[in-house]
Amino acid sequence: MEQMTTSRSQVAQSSDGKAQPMVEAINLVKHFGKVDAVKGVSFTVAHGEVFGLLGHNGAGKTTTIKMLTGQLLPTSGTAKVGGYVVADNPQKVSPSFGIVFEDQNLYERLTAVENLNFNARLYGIPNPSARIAEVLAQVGLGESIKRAVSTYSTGMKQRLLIARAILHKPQALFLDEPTRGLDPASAQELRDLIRRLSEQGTTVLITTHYMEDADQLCRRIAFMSAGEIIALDTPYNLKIKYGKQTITAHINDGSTDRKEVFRMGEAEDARRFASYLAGGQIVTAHSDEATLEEVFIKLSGRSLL
Amino acid sequence: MGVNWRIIKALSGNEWLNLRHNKAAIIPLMLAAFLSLIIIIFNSLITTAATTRLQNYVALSVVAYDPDHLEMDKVLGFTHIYTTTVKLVSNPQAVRDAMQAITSTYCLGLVLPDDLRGLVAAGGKPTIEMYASPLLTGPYFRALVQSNVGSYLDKVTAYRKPYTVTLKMLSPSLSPTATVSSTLASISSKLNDPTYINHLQQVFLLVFVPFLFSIYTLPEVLVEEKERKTLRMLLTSPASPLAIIMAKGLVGSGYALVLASPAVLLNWGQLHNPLAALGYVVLAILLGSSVGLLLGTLVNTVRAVSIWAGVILTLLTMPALIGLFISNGPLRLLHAWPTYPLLVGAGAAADGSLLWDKGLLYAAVPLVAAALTFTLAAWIMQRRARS
Repeated sequence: MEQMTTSRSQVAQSSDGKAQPMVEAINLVKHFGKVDAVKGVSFTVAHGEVFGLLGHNGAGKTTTIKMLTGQLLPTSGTAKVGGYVVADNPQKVSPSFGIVFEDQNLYERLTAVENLNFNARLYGIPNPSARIAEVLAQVGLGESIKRAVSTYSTGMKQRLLIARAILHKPQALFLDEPTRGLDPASAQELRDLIRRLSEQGTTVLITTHYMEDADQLCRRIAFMSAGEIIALDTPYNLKIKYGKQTITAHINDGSTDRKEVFRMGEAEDARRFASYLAGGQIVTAHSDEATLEEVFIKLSGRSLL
Repeated sequence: MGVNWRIIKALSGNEWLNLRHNKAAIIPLMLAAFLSLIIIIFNSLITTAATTRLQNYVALSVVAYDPDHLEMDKVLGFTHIYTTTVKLVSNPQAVRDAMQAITSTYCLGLVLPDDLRGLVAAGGKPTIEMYASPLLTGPYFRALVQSNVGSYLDKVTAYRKPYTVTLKMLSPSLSPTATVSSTLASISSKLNDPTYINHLQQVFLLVFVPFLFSIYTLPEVLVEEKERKTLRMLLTSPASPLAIIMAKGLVGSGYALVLASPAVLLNWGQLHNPLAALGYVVLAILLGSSVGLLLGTLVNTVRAVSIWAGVILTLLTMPALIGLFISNGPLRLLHAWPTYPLLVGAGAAADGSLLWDKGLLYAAVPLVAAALTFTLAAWIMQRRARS
């Protein structure tokens, strides 16, 4: 039986004693005919990390995830999960990860329990009933489990998809646009759920074009555009590095009441700001943090949506 | 590619569950019921027709030169079904000419020597010429006639052998017009024969009905997975493409067998060799299922399945069906169609003329075709799974 046995606390180590990354993309390339969908993408995701792949539609995020999960063979490069090359034997690697697909691909005529029971048998999960009850409680799907999935709302289906993905206790979770089509409240609930899973040690790789998801969940993010990673860092560092770094002040000098923008790091702006401050003319002052959206536009020259 | 039976069991179980919850599954069930009703009506009609028409029905027309009036025609009506008409001619050449004519409608021509009894008594070796039209008689039929003629001659000559019966096959003209007209004459002759119609009905039930259900059901169970994108989920699970296609094949074939069963069971009493007939039903389902799975790997929508399944069903069955009416000429190439042995074998199992060695050959061809088609489907599935 190909039951996954590695416990989440066990972290694979390389021969030099360093912890191996849970997910590795090594110079991944994918061509579809003459179209270069992914052009040499490389990154690693550490155990327990939440990593975001951000980009507009067609940037190559989903193709990258498909190569990492064995749905697509890379034209060149290597995709590794848990230290194993996925392309070598996808069926053997598959128990170490779970996927929430972009499409809500459930057996809609069946109930939630029937859907999960099928996956439990597929993965050879012992005592499936107890585990199914556990994950259903975890995703908050207690009430409607005896109804056919076709009667569920988008949010409920999304929860069931997550329940299915985590049913076999995978070490890594791939989430492809998990909050797409959800109302703000459901999206927030889903983010909370992902955060809890991460806290329990699950490695999460999430693709999205919603900045809120990335900003709230990811320890690091990679911006993808036209099949390439154009920036990779923590959200904070990206904002600092590529953001506009200005302060907007509301100034009242007795004759005029206006707003002025001061660039940080510019000597002349700093002198003027200090002068207004000393003269008691600043009513309010706010630092203008860049959003990830703005950083992405600055880097790629186009919007995320 | 290894096969994990736990996974196949899980996949099959899920497929059955899906089928049970699928309200649209009622449509093929209704079709099966409707077909059964048609068969019941047809059976009652053909039984009535057979009993009233067969008494006057002429199945075997013979032209003979019979100088001693041995009345061989009386023994040629060798079954309760066939009756015989014999046209006696005045010289042997008239028989040969009649049988050589392209437009001849005689099944058999017989030339008996003058004073057959005397020749045998004197220890001679008289030769009896027997001509059989390949367009109007099949090999089984000819063998039966030859055997009957032999038995009769044994009696006529008081078992004082030897004598020789020479069976001469005719080679009809290969001109397209003549071939077409002879073929049409042959088809027309067979379609006027209620026993042959009954035979065709058996073949239809034993082969076409299983084909019909398996060719429409199998691609759907695969394409449905593609349409609802669950195939992607399966392909990222521990299930290999081979396991997926095997499970689909098992469940789809089982379902097709369930759907085809009422039609077959309603005719169970008419089958001379029901177990062999059932074997051919299973073979038809295996072949139909393999072809259906192949179609399922190639198309992506249920709509495309319904279009292509019709085309494939026609391509798979029509040439073989036409081949049943053809005994000679270039159209005999149709006998090489993989479904032809299935039709012949099923027909022979139904009318009791199946010999075990031929039966095995008839079974081997569709079985090999099914295995090759399944392998091709699995290969395409494996290849397309990650491209």
